[in-house]
Amino acid sequence: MTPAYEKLLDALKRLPGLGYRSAERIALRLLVEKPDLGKRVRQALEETEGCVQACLDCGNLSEGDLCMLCSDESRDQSTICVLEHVPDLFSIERAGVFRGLYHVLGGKLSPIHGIGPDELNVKALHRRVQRETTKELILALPNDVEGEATCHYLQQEVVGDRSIEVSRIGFGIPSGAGVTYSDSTTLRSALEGRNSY
Amino acid sequence: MRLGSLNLVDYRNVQLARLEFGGPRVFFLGANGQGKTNVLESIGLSSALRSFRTMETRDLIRWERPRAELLFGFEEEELGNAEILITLDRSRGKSVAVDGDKLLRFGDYIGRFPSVVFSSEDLRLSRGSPGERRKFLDLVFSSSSAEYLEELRRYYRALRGRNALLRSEGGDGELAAFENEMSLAALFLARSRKDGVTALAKLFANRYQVIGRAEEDPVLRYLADVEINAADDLARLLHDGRQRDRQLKNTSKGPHRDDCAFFLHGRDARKFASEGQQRSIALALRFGQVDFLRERCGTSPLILIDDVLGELDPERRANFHACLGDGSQVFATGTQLLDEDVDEWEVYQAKEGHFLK
Ligand SMILES: [Zn+2]
Repeated sequence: MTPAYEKLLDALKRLPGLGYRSAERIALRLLVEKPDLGKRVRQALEETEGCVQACLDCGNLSEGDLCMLCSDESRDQSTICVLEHVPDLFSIERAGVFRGLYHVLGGKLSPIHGIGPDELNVKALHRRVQRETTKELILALPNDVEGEATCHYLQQEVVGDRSIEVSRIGFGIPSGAGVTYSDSTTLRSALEGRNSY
Repeated sequence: MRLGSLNLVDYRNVQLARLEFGGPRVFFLGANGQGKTNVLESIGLSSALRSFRTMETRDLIRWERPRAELLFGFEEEELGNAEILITLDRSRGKSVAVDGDKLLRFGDYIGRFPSVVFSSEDLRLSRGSPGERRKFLDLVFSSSSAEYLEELRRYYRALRGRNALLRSEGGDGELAAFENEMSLAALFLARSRKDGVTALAKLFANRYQVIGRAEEDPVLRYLADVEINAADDLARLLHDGRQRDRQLKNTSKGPHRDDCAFFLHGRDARKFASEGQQRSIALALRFGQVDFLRERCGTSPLILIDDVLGELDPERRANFHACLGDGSQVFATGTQLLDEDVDEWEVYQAKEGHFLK
Protein backbone atom coordinates (compact mmCIF):
# COMPACT_ATOMS: atom_id res chain seq x y z
CA MET A 1 0.00 0.00 0.00
CA THR A 2 1.35 3.38 -1.02
CA PRO A 3 0.02 6.91 -0.38
CA ALA A 4 -0.98 7.34 -4.04
CA TYR A 5 -2.81 4.02 -4.05
CA GLU A 6 -4.64 4.99 -0.86
CA LYS A 7 -5.70 8.25 -2.48
CA LEU A 8 -7.14 6.48 -5.52
CA LEU A 9 -8.90 3.97 -3.28
CA ASP A 10 -10.41 6.76 -1.25
CA ALA A 11 -11.75 8.48 -4.41
CA LEU A 12 -13.18 5.22 -5.80
CA LYS A 13 -14.97 4.41 -2.55
CA ARG A 14 -17.00 7.58 -2.97
CA LEU A 15 -18.59 6.28 -6.18
CA PRO A 16 -22.16 5.01 -5.76
CA GLY A 17 -22.49 1.28 -5.20
CA LEU A 18 -18.80 0.70 -4.46
CA GLY A 19 -17.79 -0.63 -1.06
CA TYR A 20 -14.22 -1.05 0.14
CA ARG A 21 -13.77 -4.45 -1.48
CA SER A 22 -14.92 -3.46 -4.97
CA ALA A 23 -12.95 -0.20 -4.82
CA GLU A 24 -9.85 -2.25 -3.98
CA ARG A 25 -10.43 -4.60 -6.91
CA ILE A 26 -10.94 -1.73 -9.33
CA ALA A 27 -7.85 0.15 -8.11
CA LEU A 28 -5.65 -2.95 -8.52
CA ARG A 29 -7.12 -3.69 -11.95
CA LEU A 30 -6.42 -0.15 -13.20
CA LEU A 31 -2.94 0.21 -11.70
CA VAL A 32 -1.33 -3.22 -11.87
CA GLU A 33 -3.30 -5.86 -13.73
CA LYS A 34 -4.49 -3.84 -16.75
CA PRO A 35 -2.55 -0.57 -16.99
CA ASP A 36 -3.86 -0.10 -20.57
CA LEU A 37 -7.41 -0.07 -19.27
CA GLY A 38 -6.43 2.56 -16.72
CA LYS A 39 -5.11 4.71 -19.55
CA ARG A 40 -8.36 4.32 -21.51
CA VAL A 41 -10.47 5.29 -18.50
CA ARG A 42 -8.32 8.38 -17.92
CA GLN A 43 -8.65 9.45 -21.57
CA ALA A 44 -12.42 8.94 -21.61
CA LEU A 45 -12.84 10.96 -18.42
CA GLU A 46 -10.73 13.78 -19.83
CA GLU A 47 -12.69 13.84 -23.08
CA THR A 48 -16.08 13.98 -21.36
CA GLU A 49 -15.02 16.70 -18.95
CA GLY A 50 -16.79 19.94 -19.75
CA CYS A 51 -18.45 18.42 -22.79
CA VAL A 52 -21.19 16.18 -21.38
CA GLN A 53 -23.88 17.91 -19.31
CA ALA A 54 -27.57 17.64 -18.51
CA CYS A 55 -29.97 18.60 -21.34
CA LEU A 56 -31.55 21.97 -20.46
CA ASP A 57 -35.00 20.69 -21.37
CA CYS A 58 -35.20 17.13 -20.12
CA GLY A 59 -32.16 16.43 -17.95
CA ASN A 60 -30.86 13.61 -20.18
CA LEU A 61 -27.12 13.39 -20.94
CA SER A 62 -26.24 15.82 -23.70
CA GLU A 63 -23.21 17.19 -25.52
CA GLY A 64 -24.97 20.48 -26.30
CA ASP A 65 -27.81 22.51 -24.75
CA LEU A 66 -30.38 20.00 -25.98
CA CYS A 67 -29.96 16.22 -26.06
CA MET A 68 -30.37 14.05 -29.16
CA LEU A 69 -33.89 13.05 -28.18
CA CYS A 70 -35.15 16.60 -27.56
CA SER A 71 -33.64 17.75 -30.90
CA ASP A 72 -35.27 14.88 -32.81
CA GLU A 73 -38.37 16.41 -34.43
CA SER A 74 -39.72 13.06 -35.54
CA ARG A 75 -40.53 12.21 -31.91
CA ASP A 76 -44.02 12.82 -30.54
CA GLN A 77 -43.72 16.29 -28.98
CA SER A 78 -47.06 16.07 -27.16
CA THR A 79 -46.14 13.31 -24.69
CA ILE A 80 -43.61 13.54 -21.88
CA CYS A 81 -42.57 10.54 -19.81
CA VAL A 82 -41.32 11.61 -16.37
CA LEU A 83 -38.54 9.49 -14.86
CA GLU A 84 -36.40 9.41 -11.76
CA HIS A 85 -32.94 8.77 -13.26
CA VAL A 86 -31.14 8.79 -16.62
CA PRO A 87 -30.66 4.97 -16.63
CA ASP A 88 -34.48 4.64 -16.52
CA LEU A 89 -34.52 6.60 -19.78
CA PHE A 90 -31.88 4.32 -21.31
CA SER A 91 -33.96 1.27 -20.39
CA ILE A 92 -37.09 2.56 -22.11
CA GLU A 93 -35.11 3.70 -25.16
CA ARG A 94 -33.40 0.32 -25.46
CA ALA A 95 -36.80 -1.37 -25.32
CA GLY A 96 -37.94 0.92 -28.16
CA VAL A 97 -41.47 1.08 -26.78
CA PHE A 98 -41.89 4.85 -26.51
CA ARG A 99 -41.61 7.57 -29.17
CA GLY A 100 -42.36 10.70 -27.12
CA LEU A 101 -40.09 12.94 -25.04
CA TYR A 102 -38.67 12.36 -21.57
CA HIS A 103 -38.14 14.35 -18.42
CA VAL A 104 -35.56 13.21 -15.86
CA LEU A 105 -36.15 14.54 -12.33
CA GLY A 106 -32.85 13.33 -10.91
CA GLY A 107 -34.55 11.84 -7.83
CA LYS A 108 -37.82 12.00 -5.96
CA LEU A 109 -39.18 14.12 -3.13
CA SER A 110 -37.63 12.90 0.13
CA PRO A 111 -37.95 15.35 3.03
CA ILE A 112 -36.01 13.00 5.31
CA HIS A 113 -33.00 13.37 3.01
CA GLY A 114 -33.61 17.08 2.51
CA ILE A 115 -34.70 16.65 -1.10
CA GLY A 116 -37.47 19.03 -2.12
CA PRO A 117 -38.66 20.37 -5.50
CA ASP A 118 -35.69 22.77 -5.68
CA GLU A 119 -33.25 19.88 -5.52
CA LEU A 120 -35.03 18.16 -8.42
CA ASN A 121 -35.37 19.08 -12.09
CA VAL A 122 -38.90 20.44 -11.55
CA LYS A 123 -38.54 24.04 -12.79
CA ALA A 124 -37.62 22.86 -16.29
CA LEU A 125 -40.72 20.64 -16.37
CA HIS A 126 -42.81 23.64 -15.38
CA ARG A 127 -41.30 25.60 -18.27
CA ARG A 128 -41.99 22.78 -20.69
CA VAL A 129 -45.68 22.37 -19.83
CA GLN A 130 -46.14 26.15 -20.11
CA ARG A 131 -45.18 25.94 -23.79
CA GLU A 132 -48.56 24.27 -24.31
CA THR A 133 -47.33 21.59 -26.70
CA THR A 134 -47.73 18.90 -24.02
CA LYS A 135 -50.96 16.90 -24.08
CA GLU A 136 -49.98 13.97 -21.87
CA LEU A 137 -47.66 13.42 -18.96
CA ILE A 138 -46.76 9.81 -18.16
CA LEU A 139 -45.48 9.43 -14.61
CA ALA A 140 -42.98 6.57 -14.58
CA LEU A 141 -41.72 7.04 -11.03
CA PRO A 142 -41.44 4.17 -8.54
CA ASN A 143 -44.49 3.22 -6.46
CA ASP A 144 -42.91 3.63 -3.03
CA VAL A 145 -44.08 6.41 -0.68
CA GLU A 146 -41.66 9.02 -2.06
CA GLY A 147 -42.42 8.12 -5.68
CA GLU A 148 -46.18 8.38 -5.15
CA ALA A 149 -45.80 11.66 -3.23
CA THR A 150 -43.73 13.07 -6.10
CA CYS A 151 -46.46 12.09 -8.59
CA HIS A 152 -49.07 13.83 -6.43
CA TYR A 153 -46.88 16.93 -6.24
CA LEU A 154 -46.32 17.11 -10.01
CA GLN A 155 -50.03 16.61 -10.69
CA GLN A 156 -51.05 19.38 -8.26
CA GLU A 157 -48.22 21.89 -8.56
CA VAL A 158 -46.93 21.50 -12.12
CA VAL A 159 -49.95 20.36 -14.12
CA GLY A 160 -52.60 22.05 -11.95
CA ASP A 161 -55.60 23.18 -14.00
CA ARG A 162 -53.94 22.79 -17.40
CA SER A 163 -55.73 20.45 -19.75
CA ILE A 164 -52.98 17.85 -19.75
CA GLU A 165 -53.80 14.21 -19.35
CA VAL A 166 -51.78 12.67 -16.52
CA SER A 167 -51.23 8.92 -16.37
CA ARG A 168 -49.28 6.60 -14.14
CA ILE A 169 -47.42 3.55 -15.43
CA GLY A 170 -48.80 0.22 -14.21
CA PHE A 171 -47.01 -1.95 -11.66
CA GLY A 172 -47.82 -5.57 -12.15
CA ILE A 173 -46.68 -9.10 -12.59
CA PRO A 174 -43.48 -9.43 -14.66
CA SER A 175 -44.08 -11.18 -17.99
CA GLY A 176 -43.37 -14.86 -17.80
CA ALA A 177 -44.20 -14.91 -14.08
CA GLY A 178 -47.49 -16.17 -12.72
CA VAL A 179 -49.97 -15.08 -10.10
CA THR A 180 -48.93 -17.81 -7.64
CA TYR A 181 -45.51 -16.40 -6.86
CA SER A 182 -46.39 -12.69 -6.69
CA ASP A 183 -46.46 -10.82 -3.40
CA SER A 184 -49.56 -9.00 -2.19
CA THR A 185 -48.43 -5.48 -3.20
CA THR A 186 -47.70 -6.62 -6.76
CA LEU A 187 -50.97 -8.50 -6.98
CA ARG A 188 -52.96 -5.53 -5.75
CA SER A 189 -51.43 -3.06 -8.20
CA ALA A 190 -51.79 -5.62 -10.98
CA LEU A 191 -55.50 -5.96 -10.19
CA GLU A 192 -56.00 -2.23 -9.82
CA GLY A 193 -54.26 -1.61 -13.13
CA ARG A 194 -56.20 -4.29 -15.05
CA ASN A 195 -57.37 -3.68 -18.62
CA SER A 196 -60.60 -4.71 -20.35
CA TYR A 197 -60.22 -7.82 -22.49
CA MET B 1 -47.94 -26.60 13.61
CA ARG B 2 -45.27 -27.67 16.07
CA LEU B 3 -41.54 -27.24 16.54
CA GLY B 4 -39.85 -30.64 16.57
CA SER B 5 -36.22 -29.58 16.80
CA LEU B 6 -34.01 -26.55 17.30
CA ASN B 7 -30.27 -26.27 16.69
CA LEU B 8 -28.41 -23.16 17.80
CA VAL B 9 -24.85 -22.19 16.90
CA ASP B 10 -23.16 -19.15 18.48
CA TYR B 11 -26.49 -17.63 19.46
CA ARG B 12 -26.09 -15.24 22.43
CA ASN B 13 -24.42 -17.32 25.18
CA VAL B 14 -25.18 -20.64 23.46
CA GLN B 15 -22.17 -22.06 21.66
CA LEU B 16 -23.95 -25.16 20.41
CA ALA B 17 -27.30 -26.69 21.30
CA ARG B 18 -29.26 -29.49 19.66
CA LEU B 19 -32.71 -29.71 21.16
CA GLU B 20 -35.49 -32.15 20.33
CA PHE B 21 -39.03 -31.56 21.50
CA GLY B 22 -41.27 -34.61 21.79
CA GLY B 23 -44.16 -33.40 23.90
CA PRO B 24 -46.57 -30.51 23.73
CA ARG B 25 -45.01 -28.70 26.73
CA VAL B 26 -41.34 -27.85 27.25
CA PHE B 27 -39.85 -26.16 30.31
CA PHE B 28 -36.41 -24.51 30.45
CA LEU B 29 -35.41 -24.48 34.10
CA GLY B 30 -32.47 -22.54 35.50
CA ALA B 31 -31.14 -19.56 37.42
CA ASN B 32 -31.11 -16.15 35.74
CA GLY B 33 -28.44 -15.51 33.12
CA GLN B 34 -28.04 -19.19 32.18
CA GLY B 35 -29.59 -18.86 28.74
CA LYS B 36 -33.17 -20.04 29.16
CA THR B 37 -34.72 -16.80 27.91
CA ASN B 38 -32.24 -16.85 25.01
CA VAL B 39 -33.74 -20.13 23.81
CA LEU B 40 -37.25 -18.75 24.09
CA GLU B 41 -36.16 -15.63 22.19
CA SER B 42 -34.63 -17.77 19.45
CA ILE B 43 -37.90 -19.68 19.04
CA GLY B 44 -39.78 -16.36 18.78
CA LEU B 45 -37.36 -15.32 16.04
CA SER B 46 -38.73 -18.05 13.77
CA SER B 47 -42.12 -16.38 13.41
CA ALA B 48 -41.35 -12.65 13.18
CA LEU B 49 -37.70 -13.02 12.05
CA ARG B 50 -36.91 -10.46 14.72
CA SER B 51 -36.27 -10.67 18.42
CA PHE B 52 -38.84 -9.72 21.04
CA ARG B 53 -35.98 -8.29 23.13
CA THR B 54 -33.72 -6.30 20.79
CA MET B 55 -33.66 -4.57 17.41
CA GLU B 56 -29.90 -5.13 17.03
CA THR B 57 -28.94 -8.26 15.10
CA ARG B 58 -25.45 -7.97 16.56
CA ASP B 59 -26.75 -8.50 20.11
CA LEU B 60 -27.86 -11.98 19.10
CA ILE B 61 -24.45 -13.20 17.95
CA ARG B 62 -22.11 -14.81 20.47
CA TRP B 63 -19.18 -12.72 21.65
CA GLU B 64 -16.42 -12.43 19.01
CA ARG B 65 -18.07 -14.86 16.60
CA PRO B 66 -18.81 -13.83 12.98
CA ARG B 67 -22.32 -15.25 12.79
CA ALA B 68 -25.07 -17.11 14.57
CA GLU B 69 -27.15 -19.89 13.00
CA LEU B 70 -30.58 -21.11 14.03
CA LEU B 71 -32.07 -24.22 12.45
CA PHE B 72 -35.73 -24.98 13.10
CA GLY B 73 -37.49 -28.24 12.28
CA PHE B 74 -41.21 -27.50 12.00
CA GLU B 75 -44.00 -29.99 11.44
CA GLU B 76 -46.95 -28.45 9.63
CA GLU B 77 -50.40 -30.00 9.44
CA GLU B 78 -50.84 -29.93 5.68
CA LEU B 79 -47.41 -29.05 4.28
CA GLY B 80 -45.45 -31.68 6.21
CA ASN B 81 -41.97 -30.90 7.53
CA ALA B 82 -40.25 -27.57 6.94
CA GLU B 83 -36.68 -26.64 7.74
CA ILE B 84 -36.01 -22.97 8.47
CA LEU B 85 -32.43 -21.70 8.66
CA ILE B 86 -31.85 -18.20 10.00
CA THR B 87 -28.34 -16.81 9.67
CA LEU B 88 -27.37 -13.69 11.57
CA ASP B 89 -24.10 -12.35 10.19
CA ARG B 90 -22.16 -9.44 11.69
CA SER B 91 -21.41 -7.88 8.31
CA ARG B 92 -24.12 -9.29 6.03
CA GLY B 93 -27.06 -9.04 8.44
CA LYS B 94 -29.94 -11.48 8.50
CA SER B 95 -30.88 -14.10 5.93
CA VAL B 96 -33.49 -16.81 5.95
CA ALA B 97 -33.79 -20.06 4.00
CA VAL B 98 -36.91 -22.22 3.84
CA ASP B 99 -36.10 -25.85 2.93
CA GLY B 100 -32.83 -24.62 1.44
CA ASP B 101 -34.35 -21.86 -0.69
CA LYS B 102 -33.40 -18.31 0.22
CA LEU B 103 -36.42 -16.31 1.35
CA LEU B 104 -36.70 -13.23 -0.86
CA ARG B 105 -39.91 -11.64 0.35
CA PHE B 106 -40.77 -11.44 4.02
CA GLY B 107 -44.44 -11.06 3.02
CA ASP B 108 -44.51 -14.68 1.84
CA TYR B 109 -43.44 -15.86 5.27
CA ILE B 110 -45.78 -13.86 7.50
CA GLY B 111 -48.27 -15.93 9.47
CA ARG B 112 -46.72 -19.30 8.62
CA PHE B 113 -45.10 -19.99 12.01
CA PRO B 114 -46.95 -17.67 14.41
CA SER B 115 -46.01 -17.41 18.07
CA VAL B 116 -47.16 -15.44 21.10
CA VAL B 117 -44.86 -14.32 23.91
CA PHE B 118 -46.09 -14.03 27.48
CA SER B 119 -43.71 -11.95 29.58
CA SER B 120 -43.74 -10.26 32.97
CA GLU B 121 -43.71 -6.93 31.15
CA ASP B 122 -47.20 -7.61 29.81
CA LEU B 123 -48.68 -5.63 32.71
CA ARG B 124 -47.67 -2.58 30.71
CA LEU B 125 -50.35 -3.48 28.15
CA SER B 126 -53.13 -2.25 30.38
CA ARG B 127 -51.17 0.19 32.51
CA GLY B 128 -48.57 1.62 30.16
CA SER B 129 -48.61 4.38 27.58
CA PRO B 130 -50.86 4.36 24.47
CA GLY B 131 -47.71 3.64 22.44
CA GLU B 132 -47.31 0.22 24.09
CA ARG B 133 -50.89 -0.77 23.28
CA ARG B 134 -50.52 0.51 19.71
CA LYS B 135 -47.35 -1.54 19.34
CA PHE B 136 -49.25 -4.58 20.58
CA LEU B 137 -52.13 -4.11 18.12
CA ASP B 138 -49.73 -3.53 15.22
CA LEU B 139 -47.79 -6.65 16.17
CA VAL B 140 -50.93 -8.79 16.29
CA PHE B 141 -52.28 -7.52 12.97
CA SER B 142 -49.00 -7.46 11.07
CA SER B 143 -48.02 -10.94 12.23
CA SER B 144 -51.14 -12.27 10.51
CA SER B 145 -51.32 -10.00 7.43
CA ALA B 146 -48.52 -9.00 5.06
CA GLU B 147 -50.74 -6.28 3.67
CA TYR B 148 -51.21 -4.71 7.10
CA LEU B 149 -47.45 -4.64 7.64
CA GLU B 150 -46.94 -3.06 4.20
CA GLU B 151 -49.55 -0.33 4.78
CA LEU B 152 -48.22 0.32 8.29
CA ARG B 153 -44.74 0.86 6.89
CA ARG B 154 -46.08 3.17 4.17
CA TYR B 155 -48.00 5.20 6.74
CA TYR B 156 -45.00 5.70 9.01
CA ARG B 157 -42.69 6.47 6.10
CA ALA B 158 -45.09 9.15 4.83
CA LEU B 159 -45.52 10.45 8.40
CA ARG B 160 -41.74 10.78 8.79
CA GLY B 161 -41.73 12.69 5.49
CA ARG B 162 -44.42 15.09 6.69
CA ASN B 163 -42.68 15.65 10.03
CA ALA B 164 -39.40 16.37 8.25
CA LEU B 165 -41.25 18.95 6.12
CA LEU B 166 -42.78 20.54 9.22
CA ARG B 167 -39.31 20.88 10.73
CA SER B 168 -37.69 22.26 7.57
CA GLU B 169 -40.62 24.56 6.80
CA GLY B 170 -41.40 22.83 3.52
CA GLY B 171 -44.02 24.18 1.14
CA ASP B 172 -47.75 23.40 1.16
CA GLY B 173 -47.48 21.48 -2.10
CA GLU B 174 -44.97 19.06 -0.61
CA LEU B 175 -47.00 18.70 2.57
CA ALA B 176 -50.09 17.88 0.51
CA ALA B 177 -48.15 15.20 -1.36
CA PHE B 178 -47.15 13.38 1.83
CA GLU B 179 -50.51 13.95 3.52
CA ASN B 180 -52.14 12.23 0.56
CA GLU B 181 -49.88 9.19 1.01
CA MET B 182 -50.60 9.09 4.76
CA SER B 183 -54.30 9.35 4.10
CA LEU B 184 -54.45 6.37 1.72
CA ALA B 185 -52.60 4.11 4.16
CA ALA B 186 -54.61 5.49 7.11
CA LEU B 187 -57.89 4.32 5.62
CA PHE B 188 -56.59 0.76 5.38
CA LEU B 189 -55.16 0.88 8.92
CA ALA B 190 -58.35 2.35 10.41
CA ARG B 191 -60.54 -0.33 8.84
CA SER B 192 -58.20 -3.17 9.77
CA ARG B 193 -57.84 -1.96 13.34
CA LYS B 194 -61.58 -1.50 13.77
CA ASP B 195 -62.36 -5.02 12.46
CA GLY B 196 -59.33 -6.51 14.18
CA VAL B 197 -60.05 -5.09 17.63
CA THR B 198 -63.70 -6.14 17.36
CA ALA B 199 -62.58 -9.73 16.71
CA LEU B 200 -59.84 -9.57 19.34
CA ALA B 201 -62.21 -8.08 21.94
CA LYS B 202 -64.54 -11.10 21.73
CA LEU B 203 -61.66 -13.54 22.14
CA PHE B 204 -60.23 -11.47 24.98
CA ALA B 205 -63.56 -11.40 26.84
CA ASN B 206 -63.96 -15.19 26.46
CA ARG B 207 -60.52 -15.82 27.89
CA TYR B 208 -61.00 -13.34 30.72
CA GLN B 209 -64.02 -15.38 31.85
CA VAL B 210 -61.63 -18.28 32.51
CA ILE B 211 -58.61 -16.36 33.88
CA GLY B 212 -60.37 -13.75 35.97
CA ARG B 213 -63.93 -13.52 37.19
CA ALA B 214 -66.80 -13.78 34.76
CA GLU B 215 -69.01 -11.22 36.44
CA GLU B 216 -66.48 -8.43 35.92
CA ASP B 217 -67.82 -7.83 32.40
CA PRO B 218 -64.46 -7.33 30.62
CA VAL B 219 -64.46 -5.08 27.53
CA LEU B 220 -61.69 -4.15 25.10
CA ARG B 221 -62.41 -1.07 23.00
CA TYR B 222 -60.59 0.55 20.06
CA LEU B 223 -59.98 4.27 20.58
CA ALA B 224 -59.31 5.83 17.18
CA ASP B 225 -57.59 9.22 17.40
CA VAL B 226 -59.58 10.40 14.38
CA GLU B 227 -62.59 8.96 12.57
CA ILE B 228 -61.57 7.75 9.10
CA ASN B 229 -64.13 6.43 6.61
CA ALA B 230 -62.83 7.60 3.23
CA ALA B 231 -59.49 7.84 1.43
CA ASP B 232 -59.21 11.62 1.83
CA ASP B 233 -60.58 11.98 5.40
CA LEU B 234 -57.17 12.18 7.05
CA ALA B 235 -55.75 14.37 4.25
CA ARG B 236 -58.45 16.96 4.92
CA LEU B 237 -57.81 16.90 8.67
CA LEU B 238 -54.06 17.24 8.20
CA HIS B 239 -54.57 20.08 5.75
CA ASP B 240 -56.71 21.95 8.27
CA GLY B 241 -54.22 21.35 11.07
CA ARG B 242 -51.13 22.56 9.23
CA GLN B 243 -50.73 25.82 11.10
CA ARG B 244 -50.78 24.11 14.50
CA ASP B 245 -48.54 21.29 13.28
CA ARG B 246 -46.03 23.75 11.81
CA GLN B 247 -45.73 25.34 15.24
CA LEU B 248 -45.39 21.96 16.97
CA LYS B 249 -43.05 20.72 14.19
CA ASN B 250 -44.89 17.45 14.54
CA THR B 251 -48.05 15.73 13.25
CA SER B 252 -50.52 15.93 16.09
CA LYS B 253 -53.41 13.88 14.71
CA GLY B 254 -53.74 10.53 12.97
CA PRO B 255 -53.64 6.74 13.42
CA HIS B 256 -50.16 7.05 14.97
CA ARG B 257 -52.05 8.34 18.03
CA ASP B 258 -54.60 5.50 18.19
CA ASP B 259 -55.11 3.61 21.44
CA CYS B 260 -57.32 0.96 22.97
CA ALA B 261 -58.70 0.64 26.48
CA PHE B 262 -59.93 -2.04 28.88
CA PHE B 263 -63.03 -1.77 31.01
CA LEU B 264 -64.23 -3.84 33.97
CA HIS B 265 -67.74 -3.20 35.24
CA GLY B 266 -67.84 -0.35 32.73
CA ARG B 267 -64.93 1.44 34.42
CA ASP B 268 -61.54 2.23 32.88
CA ALA B 269 -59.23 -0.55 34.05
CA ARG B 270 -56.16 1.65 33.76
CA LYS B 271 -57.39 3.71 36.71
CA PHE B 272 -59.63 1.37 38.68
CA ALA B 273 -58.40 -2.22 38.24
CA SER B 274 -56.51 -3.96 41.06
CA GLU B 275 -53.06 -5.51 40.60
CA GLY B 276 -54.67 -8.95 40.22
CA GLN B 277 -57.18 -7.69 37.66
CA GLN B 278 -54.39 -6.03 35.65
CA ARG B 279 -52.62 -9.39 35.58
CA SER B 280 -55.80 -11.13 34.39
CA ILE B 281 -56.22 -8.52 31.65
CA ALA B 282 -52.65 -9.06 30.44
CA LEU B 283 -53.03 -12.85 30.39
CA ALA B 284 -56.47 -12.79 28.74
CA LEU B 285 -55.13 -10.42 26.08
CA ARG B 286 -52.21 -12.74 25.27
CA PHE B 287 -54.57 -15.71 25.03
CA GLY B 288 -56.84 -13.56 22.87
CA GLN B 289 -53.81 -13.00 20.62
CA VAL B 290 -53.28 -16.78 20.47
CA ASP B 291 -56.91 -17.31 19.38
CA PHE B 292 -56.78 -14.42 16.91
CA LEU B 293 -53.65 -15.76 15.21
CA ARG B 294 -55.13 -19.26 15.13
CA GLU B 295 -58.18 -17.89 13.28
CA ARG B 296 -56.27 -15.67 10.87
CA CYS B 297 -53.21 -17.84 10.19
CA GLY B 298 -55.05 -21.14 10.17
CA THR B 299 -52.62 -22.82 12.56
CA SER B 300 -52.08 -22.89 16.33
CA PRO B 301 -49.34 -20.44 17.35
CA LEU B 302 -46.49 -21.53 19.60
CA ILE B 303 -46.92 -20.17 23.12
CA LEU B 304 -43.72 -18.79 24.67
CA ILE B 305 -43.94 -18.05 28.38
CA ASP B 306 -41.01 -16.10 29.78
CA ASP B 307 -40.79 -16.32 33.56
CA VAL B 308 -44.46 -15.61 34.16
CA LEU B 309 -45.76 -18.72 35.94
CA GLY B 310 -43.90 -18.04 39.18
CA GLU B 311 -45.63 -14.69 39.58
CA LEU B 312 -49.15 -16.06 39.55
CA ASP B 313 -51.19 -16.89 42.66
CA PRO B 314 -52.47 -20.50 42.89
CA GLU B 315 -55.95 -19.68 41.57
CA ARG B 316 -54.71 -17.79 38.52
CA ARG B 317 -52.09 -20.43 37.86
CA ALA B 318 -54.78 -23.11 37.79
CA ASN B 319 -56.86 -20.98 35.45
CA PHE B 320 -53.79 -20.37 33.29
CA HIS B 321 -53.22 -24.10 32.94
CA ALA B 322 -56.85 -24.56 31.97
CA CYS B 323 -56.30 -22.01 29.19
CA LEU B 324 -53.22 -23.78 27.84
CA GLY B 325 -54.94 -27.04 27.07
CA ASP B 326 -56.02 -26.30 23.53
CA GLY B 327 -53.54 -27.64 21.02
CA SER B 328 -50.80 -25.03 21.04
CA GLN B 329 -47.28 -26.21 21.75
CA VAL B 330 -45.96 -24.44 24.85
CA PHE B 331 -42.40 -23.38 25.74
CA ALA B 332 -41.85 -21.89 29.20
CA THR B 333 -38.97 -20.67 31.33
CA GLY B 334 -38.65 -20.32 35.09
CA THR B 335 -36.27 -20.43 38.01
CA GLN B 336 -38.29 -23.15 39.66
CA LEU B 337 -40.94 -25.72 38.85
CA LEU B 338 -43.54 -26.78 41.38
CA ASP B 339 -43.54 -30.51 42.21
CA GLU B 340 -47.18 -30.84 41.20
CA ASP B 341 -46.33 -29.55 37.69
CA VAL B 342 -43.23 -31.65 36.99
CA ASP B 343 -45.07 -34.44 35.19
CA GLU B 344 -46.69 -32.11 32.71
CA TRP B 345 -43.46 -30.76 31.26
CA GLU B 346 -40.53 -32.00 29.25
CA VAL B 347 -37.82 -30.31 31.34
CA TYR B 348 -34.47 -28.95 30.14
CA GLN B 349 -31.98 -27.70 32.74
CA ALA B 350 -30.25 -24.52 31.51
CA LYS B 351 -26.70 -23.88 32.71
CA GLU B 352 -24.15 -21.50 31.17
CA GLY B 353 -25.59 -21.86 27.70
CA HIS B 354 -25.96 -25.65 27.87
CA PHE B 355 -29.23 -27.55 28.08
CA LEU B 356 -29.66 -30.97 29.64
CA LYS B 357 -32.79 -33.06 29.60
ZN1 LIG C 1 -33.41 16.51 -23.68
